[in-house]
Amino acid sequence: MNRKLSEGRGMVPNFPSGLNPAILQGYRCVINSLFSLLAPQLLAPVMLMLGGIVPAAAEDESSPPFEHGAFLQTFFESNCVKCHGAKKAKGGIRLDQMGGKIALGHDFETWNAIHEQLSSGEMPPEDAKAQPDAAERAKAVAWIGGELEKAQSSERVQHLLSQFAFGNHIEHEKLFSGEIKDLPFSPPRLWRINPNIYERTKHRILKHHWEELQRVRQPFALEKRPGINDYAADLLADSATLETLIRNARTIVEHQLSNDVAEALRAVLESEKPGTKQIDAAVQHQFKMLILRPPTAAELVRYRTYMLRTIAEAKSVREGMAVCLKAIALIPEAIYRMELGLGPEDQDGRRRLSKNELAFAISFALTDDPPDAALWEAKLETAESVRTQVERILDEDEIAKPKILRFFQEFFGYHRAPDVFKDAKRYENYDWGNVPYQLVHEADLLVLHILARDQDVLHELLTTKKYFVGHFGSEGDPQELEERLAALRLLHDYWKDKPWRELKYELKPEVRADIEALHPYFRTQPAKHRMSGGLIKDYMGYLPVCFENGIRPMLAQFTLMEGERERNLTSAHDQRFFLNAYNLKFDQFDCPTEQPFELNPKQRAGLLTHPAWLIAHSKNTDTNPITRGKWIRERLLAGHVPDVPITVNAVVPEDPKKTLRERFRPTRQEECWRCHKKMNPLGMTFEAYDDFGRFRTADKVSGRPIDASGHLDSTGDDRLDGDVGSAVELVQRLGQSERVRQSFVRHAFRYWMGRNEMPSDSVTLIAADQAYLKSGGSFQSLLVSLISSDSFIYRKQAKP
Amino acid sequence: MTPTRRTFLKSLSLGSGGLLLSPLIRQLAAEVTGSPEAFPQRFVFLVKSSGLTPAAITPKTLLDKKPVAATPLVASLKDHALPDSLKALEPFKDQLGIVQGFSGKMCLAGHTSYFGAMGVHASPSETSSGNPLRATLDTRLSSRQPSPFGHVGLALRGRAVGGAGDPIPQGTIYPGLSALAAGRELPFQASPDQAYDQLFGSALGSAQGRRRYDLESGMLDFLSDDIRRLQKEVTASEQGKLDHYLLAFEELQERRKKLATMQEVIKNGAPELTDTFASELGTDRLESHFTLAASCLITGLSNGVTIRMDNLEHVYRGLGLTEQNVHAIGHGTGSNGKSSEECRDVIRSYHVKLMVGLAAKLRSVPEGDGTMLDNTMIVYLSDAGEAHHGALHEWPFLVLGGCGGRLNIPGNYIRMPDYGNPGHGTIGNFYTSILNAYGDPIEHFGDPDFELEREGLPQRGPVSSLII
Repeated sequence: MNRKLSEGRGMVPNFPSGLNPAILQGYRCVINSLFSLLAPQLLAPVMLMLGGIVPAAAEDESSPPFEHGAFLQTFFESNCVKCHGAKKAKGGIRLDQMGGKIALGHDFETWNAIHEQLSSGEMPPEDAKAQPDAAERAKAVAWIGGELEKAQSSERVQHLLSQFAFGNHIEHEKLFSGEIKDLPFSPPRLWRINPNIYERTKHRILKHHWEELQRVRQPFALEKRPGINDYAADLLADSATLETLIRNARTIVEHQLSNDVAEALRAVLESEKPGTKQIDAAVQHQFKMLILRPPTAAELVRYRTYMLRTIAEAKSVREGMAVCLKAIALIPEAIYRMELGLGPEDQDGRRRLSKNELAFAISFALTDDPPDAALWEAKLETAESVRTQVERILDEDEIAKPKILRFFQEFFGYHRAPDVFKDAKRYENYDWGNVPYQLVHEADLLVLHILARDQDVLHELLTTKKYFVGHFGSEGDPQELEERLAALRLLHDYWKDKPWRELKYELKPEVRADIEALHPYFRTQPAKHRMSGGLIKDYMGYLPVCFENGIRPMLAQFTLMEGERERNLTSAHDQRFFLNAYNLKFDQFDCPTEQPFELNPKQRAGLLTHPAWLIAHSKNTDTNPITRGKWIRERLLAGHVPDVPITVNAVVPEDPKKTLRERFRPTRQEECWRCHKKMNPLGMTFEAYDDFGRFRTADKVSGRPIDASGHLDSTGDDRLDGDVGSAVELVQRLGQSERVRQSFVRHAFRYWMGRNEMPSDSVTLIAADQAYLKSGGSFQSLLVSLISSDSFIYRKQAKP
Repeated sequence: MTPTRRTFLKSLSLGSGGLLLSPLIRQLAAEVTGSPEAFPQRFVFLVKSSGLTPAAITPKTLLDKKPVAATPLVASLKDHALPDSLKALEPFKDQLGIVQGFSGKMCLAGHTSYFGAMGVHASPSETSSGNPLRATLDTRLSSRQPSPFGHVGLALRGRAVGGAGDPIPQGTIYPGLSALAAGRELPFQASPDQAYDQLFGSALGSAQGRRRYDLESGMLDFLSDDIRRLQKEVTASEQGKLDHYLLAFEELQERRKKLATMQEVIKNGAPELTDTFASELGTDRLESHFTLAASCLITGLSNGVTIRMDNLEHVYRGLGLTEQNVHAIGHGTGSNGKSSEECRDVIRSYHVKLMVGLAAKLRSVPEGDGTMLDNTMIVYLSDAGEAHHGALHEWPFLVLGGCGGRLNIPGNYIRMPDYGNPGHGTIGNFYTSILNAYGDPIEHFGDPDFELEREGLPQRGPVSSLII
């Protein structure tokens, strides 16, 4: 397990030894039958969800133990072996040869598949001549489930349930039915520091010292898996984290003792034999800088003693103090936020988060910074006082709240577009590098715009007809834009008759002086946006076309942070190529001053038809109807699609004469369609866009027309379920669905609580949903409701 | 040695438990069997910037030779004189390989491919290395040869594309070249004196270095106590997280203990700490890095080293090229009265001299019937392929050392069929061959080249003729 962890793969549960390594590799499949191992209180609803079969035998402890070889063998022979025997062996499965040593791990993956198929009612297939009776089926399911359970440890099952991918295994209707009256709580926990918080801390200490900033690396990077990543349960600090932290601590402390030395540290440095008072001040300073709070009395004594000791051992005040300052950077609280519930206990055994715990929890729910003064001072003894603080932070514009946008990025997943490797040749033969970043940036602008209006937020995100393209966003200053346009026109006029194509990257001083004399804009730009030969060539390849065609050029100019590097999207060269993803042409696109603007309502509506989302959910060279369909099924319809069975080698057949939909025909086979029907009819509607997000009516390779029809089901609303003609129609229906709204609330819950919902969170979820509904779709109201909920504030050990 | 012991060791080394043997027994076993299999294998990657020109490392007599049909051209180097800038390698010709013709168009072309050069994938742009998608070839190879320090990164300079006029960096840097795993970049040490303290400080090093080392050991103990104290206060379900953190401390302490048992070896094998280790002059620093690398391998502190030789901002003052940096020279500007090509020859000759120096040290250490160099592979490559602005149609390599007798490279000039022709291979195929030869069963290493895929040219797997 340790090796796995050091590879940064997160915790992978132990498997019984002697298992086929394929299981270890693709444990996702094994986990499909998770419900067989669910805790008893979860078992029933999951069973219901998956086919309405409750394994009576599992609950009846008086039933005699089942003997393999008698009942099960007969069961297989009567119901399964015709297709899964020596003659046919469909899907590579032969049930006439299965041994019964499940508990020892024999044929583990196959038994899991059998269990899943039987318990969900997927097997025997609907059109089989005969079906086993319910009691027989339940008995078989219970016995296999029981044996599988023996092959596992319950801790492992608990771990699996805690993963984001298993969030939907709790029955949706029941969560929102109102029947569950349990008092909500979260388990007490340590939650690994979010990378963004570490990043802020680092900048707070190192300020503008670029070299040191480069040297201090992120120890807590998240994996950027699809979905919500920052879960308290599955983030650990391993030896790789520690090594990075130690290296960082050396850099940070060396900097603290060399540059802009704080008074508290200077006093110790300058003293030959520092006294208690001076040492205490240094310890307090370091706690405040790195742990973001003052030390407790006990901590102060411990670190004072330690610093005195290290100074003596080092025979140098500086060296000794440095060791102690480094140590503070490595204490567990520098790695994990403590949410243990140190406040008072109520009559239900739930402990409130202490005032300090709560202040941190609220601050980190919305920002990357420690609590501000008002939050430290707030009493936070009631839900109302928590609500007041959350509302205050949301209202104060000067407090940056990046966590909110990040939720929408993780929920929709459009920010992963740059991670999908694309062949530049197929995209206008242009270096693809910068394009996905710009598209993600514009999707961000759209989300922020909708959040600023804060009405019907989800509906708007799913169905808006308006987009930002080549624009600053709502925050852009129109006056500044006009200034830039005027400046660029002068630049154009200056160069239009000169040999600009021959410019070298570095401008000659006299040329630079000429340009700076043209307009104040050229004198006031920061160095990274200042004119160079390359930039002038970029502009001159673009501006004449605009001025000749009487269209307004795009003027957006911005810097994106990609990890620790800046990415400047300043050049017209970059900007004109990304337009293609929206089916726009740079020599025809008259960039609207007022944005967002209506792009093409027949072709696009909402984020799911935004090129960034489409690219993020595409393959290297193809679209990806399966992933897109699965995304809608799981994120919006609160459903679940099992992973590809281990025996299936899922490859889409190549055929240049067919569209992707036609090439997917094999999935209509009965054994595939059982799962594919949950994805294909949803995902295929996005076939109207190619894998760069461009709208199309015909497939480029086969030349055949695109069929973008599909089908929506399981919304729980007859008015919405049914055939759809396009993705635009699909998203409009999704936008009206109550189930979609509730699924969105569930995901917001997961993001802000850092865990999957439990049945006991029902009250919190319903309250959040109602808060959103009653406020006319205000995301802020939903957020206030979640953060002031009992699930957020109380801690109690969950029963296994 | 008695026959009984000999037989015993033989049976041990050939049995299935061979892999589990301690290094000492493995060493003894190797001496008995004379089998190189039992010796640790070492890997050194020397990564330069500004491209490695294929013609400049090709013997004149082979310049016009092309592969016939789909078969790589293989010529024995003993029949050909090396080009001038490679002259220092003449005495090592039997263990030198010149490998050409593998393409790398799945990587970002231009001034640098960052992690792509050894990880075979595209990085987002010239100014951003992005995230590594996988462990790079260098660290992946050495990960199968455990050592106290794992893979060591030493660098004269950081990222290929830096700020104009940047001073030579100090301390830990991240040049965007090597990765330990997806998303985990290998840190490089840019200060030879600090590297000396970190590598050899447990046994010797500057007084300050030793003291720091001891103080940090004490700090690890102190913090371990802190974690144990906290463990008592949290619920059982959360104790696991603290267990993991504690384990991380214990692993570090374990390494320190292991180093403590190697005191004599380290003392005997450590280089002499001279003023050049803290010199401001690039050539002094680079030479110090090579000295450290040799000692590191010989003492067994590490079995894998990657050296970042320079970057585009570097000015080779120590070689008399004071007027222009590597970038300007790469773009055709001459320096100090020399043409751009002559400057490139001067730099390459210097790198080759350093490489030969390292090889000579390894050749002086006996191992089994041969020397340590027999069980070493030194690879010299550029992070930008075949030119200052590499198009990556080909990615030339110099390979030096016996490669553990696993590869058909030493002693040969090898040229793959050109890009797009049948039999052509990518660096992904080349690296897969190396990994497979060293017992890593990976089917294919790295990303595909979509262009070749469209042409229907096979792209997966090793080049079997390279593997013995």
